[in-house]
Amino acid sequence: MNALDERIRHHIDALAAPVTLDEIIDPSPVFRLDQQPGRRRPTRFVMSAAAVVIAMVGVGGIVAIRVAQPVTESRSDQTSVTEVSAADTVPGPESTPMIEAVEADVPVYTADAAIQPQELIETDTDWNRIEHDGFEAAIASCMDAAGFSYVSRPFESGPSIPAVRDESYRRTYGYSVPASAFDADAWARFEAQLDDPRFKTTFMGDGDEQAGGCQIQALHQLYPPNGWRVPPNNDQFLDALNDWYTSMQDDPFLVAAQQDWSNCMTDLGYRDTNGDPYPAPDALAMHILQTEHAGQNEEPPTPSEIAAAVDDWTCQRHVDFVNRWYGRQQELTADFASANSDLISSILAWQAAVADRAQAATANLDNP
Amino acid sequence: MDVSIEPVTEVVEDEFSSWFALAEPRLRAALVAEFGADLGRDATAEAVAYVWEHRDRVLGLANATGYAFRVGQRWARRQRSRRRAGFTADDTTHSSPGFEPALQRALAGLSTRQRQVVVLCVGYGVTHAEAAQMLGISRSSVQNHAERGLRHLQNEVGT
Repeated sequence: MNALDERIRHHIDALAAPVTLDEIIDPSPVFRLDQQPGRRRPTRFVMSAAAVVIAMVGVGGIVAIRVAQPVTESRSDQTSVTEVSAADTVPGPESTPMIEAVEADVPVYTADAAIQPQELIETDTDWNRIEHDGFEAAIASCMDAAGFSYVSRPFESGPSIPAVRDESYRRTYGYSVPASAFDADAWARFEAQLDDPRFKTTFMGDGDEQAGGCQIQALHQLYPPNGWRVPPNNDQFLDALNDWYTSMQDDPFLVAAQQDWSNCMTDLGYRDTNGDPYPAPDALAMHILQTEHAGQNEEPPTPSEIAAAVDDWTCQRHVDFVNRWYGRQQELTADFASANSDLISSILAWQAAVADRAQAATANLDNP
Repeated sequence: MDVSIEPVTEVVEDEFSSWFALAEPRLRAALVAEFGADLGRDATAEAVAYVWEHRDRVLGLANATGYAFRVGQRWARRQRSRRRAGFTADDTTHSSPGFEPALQRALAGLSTRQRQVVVLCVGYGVTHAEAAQMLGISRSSVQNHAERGLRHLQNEVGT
């Protein structure tokens, strides 16, 4: 019998053969200074699709309220939101945030964990569909009983999230959501029926909350006890969420990630109107949406918006923003989940009950 | 290309080759011990590739192998969410000479840290000080993990 040390070494070698340089590095350009050596497996610097999807969560709420048309220009020479023309390249290779992140033991982002506490109680498309159909069915039953044929509001699950959050999308739409994401004809049909005053009063009521129209009745039918489309303990959740956001502001990992992104954007020439650096990607997106298209939501994004959105994305990749920012947020969200488990369970139970009532309302309309 | 620069390049390549020859077995041992055969080996390859790409800076670090280990560890943890991986007792897919099912079961019975320390220090002759530096833990921790892990291993498979 071999000594234990030899057995262990042979066992590990049998499990996993030694890594050779040939499989890591393309041999041809290795010893030339004027070329970067190639790699056969460049997986590490290619952001996973899931990471790309999550990367723009912060501006998701902003883009959701924006309607615009695509433009064909991919890039302008100068942006109106910058004081200095933006360069086409990011800062030089001497800046290596990956190294700093590893040395600082930065948390690792994983695609399958909640980034923010809201995701712990977030409903999916199936639930949203059931809830929407049930609510509209409850209204339709009520309107039918009053002698009206009701045209329901269209169900909108929003544009494809992956489409919103990748570079090619940004090159086309900037921070915007295309008008094609909304079914304008369906909304026109819904609104047209409200032109009839009798229909409108039956639908919306006459201002009396208790004895209100069919919409109020449907709210009380599906969302007892108070007829609100949010859980009864929503305020408690929001208070906890507020504490969570407060704790984020002083978190050293998050502060450092924002600062690195801000430095990168500053190097590319981006400043706000006071000449100050943008502190975070959300601040840049908000600034652009408020200043470039204020009151002109039907306008297509300008080339400078496209350029800023792409530069923002470039800097996020350059400073490993996704991993650093969302990895740390996932840790904080896990803490939130532990501290508020009862509250979260109760909200999830409320959502399940709403879905049951909605399905009953839909079945009742289908089988009166 | 300026020919006069080539000797400098060759020095860097030599330095990388020297580092690779010493570090690869250790990296692979530690990463396989933590993540299992397939993911651990892939993580080793990723870590080595990363050091190659950033060799000018990384090889200048006092603890380049420890740094590479953390690069591989971070990469593997990201991948783990998408791949079922780990050092398991029922990994019986290997038929290469040297593979011992009983040793596999015994190693799988150790904690991850014990397994890393035992594989590195017992299997590959890494000193406690070197293992401590590479894994980012104290020397006394290495000592503890090594003693406990070795005792367990000897009970399971003998010496």
